[in-house]
Amino acid sequence: MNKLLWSLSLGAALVGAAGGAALAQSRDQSIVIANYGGAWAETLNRICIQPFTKETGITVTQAATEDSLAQIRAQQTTKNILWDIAPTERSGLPVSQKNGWLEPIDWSVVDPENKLPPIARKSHAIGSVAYSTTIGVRMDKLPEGKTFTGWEDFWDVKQFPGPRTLRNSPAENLEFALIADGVKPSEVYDVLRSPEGVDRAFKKLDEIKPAITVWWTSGQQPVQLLASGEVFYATAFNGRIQQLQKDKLPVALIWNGGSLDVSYYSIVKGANNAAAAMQFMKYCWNEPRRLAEIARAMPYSSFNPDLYKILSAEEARQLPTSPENMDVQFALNAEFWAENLPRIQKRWETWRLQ
Amino acid sequence: MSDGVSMPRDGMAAARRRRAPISSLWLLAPAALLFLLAFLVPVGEVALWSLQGDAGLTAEHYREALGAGPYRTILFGTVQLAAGVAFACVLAGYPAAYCLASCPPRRRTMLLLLILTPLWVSVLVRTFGWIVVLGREGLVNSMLIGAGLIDAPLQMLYSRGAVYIAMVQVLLPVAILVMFSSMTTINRSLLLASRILGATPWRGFLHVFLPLSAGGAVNAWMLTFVLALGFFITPALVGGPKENMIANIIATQITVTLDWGLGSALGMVLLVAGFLMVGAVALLFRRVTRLSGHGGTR
Repeated sequence: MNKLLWSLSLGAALVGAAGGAALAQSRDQSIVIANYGGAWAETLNRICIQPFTKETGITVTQAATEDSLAQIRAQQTTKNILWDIAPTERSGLPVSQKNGWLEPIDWSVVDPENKLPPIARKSHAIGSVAYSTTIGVRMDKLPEGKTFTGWEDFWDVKQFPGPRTLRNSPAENLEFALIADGVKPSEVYDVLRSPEGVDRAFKKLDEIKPAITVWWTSGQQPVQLLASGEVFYATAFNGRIQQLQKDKLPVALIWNGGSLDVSYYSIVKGANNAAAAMQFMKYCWNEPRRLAEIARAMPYSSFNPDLYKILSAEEARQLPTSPENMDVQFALNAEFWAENLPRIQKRWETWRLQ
Repeated sequence: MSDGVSMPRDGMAAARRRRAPISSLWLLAPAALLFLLAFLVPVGEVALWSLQGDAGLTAEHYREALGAGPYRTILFGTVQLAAGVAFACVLAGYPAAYCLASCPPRRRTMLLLLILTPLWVSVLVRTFGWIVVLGREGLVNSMLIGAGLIDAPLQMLYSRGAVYIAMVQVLLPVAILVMFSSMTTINRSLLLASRILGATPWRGFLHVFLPLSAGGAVNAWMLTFVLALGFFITPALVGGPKENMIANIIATQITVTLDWGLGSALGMVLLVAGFLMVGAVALLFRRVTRLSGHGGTR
């Protein structure tokens, strides 16, 4: 009897100790955010992470990655979850969601006032900021007296001669080709989903192929090609072109027909600290004041409309989600590409070799 | 010669001889363990992925990788390019290695340092160097236009030629080092002997030095070939619009389309293709490589 009592009390003491340890753990919380490093990581660190840690005591570690989706898959298959928040842009979101690799977002925590539009408020991801793939034009190489307005001119090698570069990927280029072929930006995916839509896009791409000097693969490449005069016209991320403008290079940015690409962040399944991760999402990506600071640091902007109450009209003009720029672009359709990329990618490789 | 015949009467000596290979095998253990853990296990896993379909085992990924289509073309192109680059490295590196092996020690150290320095600079930086040199408004074009030799800039960058130049530059030091180290083991008094026997220096080189150093050249080719097979950044940065290496395709399958089955199959095919090429060359030049041991006493 005595023995039983003794072992019971020992058990209780052990449980109590474990509980205490768990409590201490929650006070000493931490989350890991994966992202692509570089200037974006530095901006996040300065504007969000440092003040967040100071206010909440939750430490935030950034993990650099270049292939988030492959990493998410690897972590889920090995059940070795290293991240709490991971970038899931492009096919990343639909693919990971379909495979059950993500936790749902509790929107009553992240967006209690219902400010974000549906594009930024997905069941398993928040649209943090958006960037655009736009056309960069070397103004000093333009023929005298001509104005370059969009994709039709990019395809018009007679009126606008000179070397060009596009990204080495069918995503976006098929859309651009259709716009050059007269499709309205808002209707590109209706056409692409139709049986002959992809054929039509590839046929239009045939026309521009001889003028493509190189197919770029990393974001810095088109900017360097424009700066060195290797190409006169290029697709590039808006922020990179704006950096060239700051460096006083005669480069114009064409928003017309640009592709709006949302930088989504998700909480991975089995994340150590999903609650703190959602707290951070709201703190960093849904507070107008901080979003304005981010937009001023880098020309990437959120969908929270209150952002434009803080920014001046001049500042807004430089941003991909400002109303006037949103109107002339299309939003990259991640679902379409998640479904069709493997098939179209093979056709793209074949087409490039031809 | 079988062991039974050559076994000496002396039991102690026989035991020593028998034990020697076993105890020296143990020296391989750290390398073997690392090889097992860091190479065989992951490669085995990749091999499994390449055979996994939605419903059990399948050869579908290999059919796609090797059947008519873009992947086979790119695979052949990659092997061809790697073989060509390796050959160019051996051709350009051989005289340099010869020069190194025959010059006085002090100058040799200096030259070796010069050859090794580029290896410390990242491949990316070296590749960007070529963009500066060969670009439309780059060094060569500006010089040619300045000298009035051409009117419009030549398209040198973004072509197969640019890939060749950049890859040879990156891999040349490796080829030189391999050939140099094999040349240092050649017994130079053999050359002297050939001169005494009346051969001209050229004939002596052709009949004595060249056969003895050919093994090193073949090894250098094999090593640079294998390294070139996996090249990735250089072709992407300076290659033309049609340029594509199988390594880039594999990366696309792993990270973009997430078709790990096809990516793994392409990886396995590349591995086997590398083995086959290297094995064939080793077999073909068996006589040559075996010869290099003969002059191997300095």
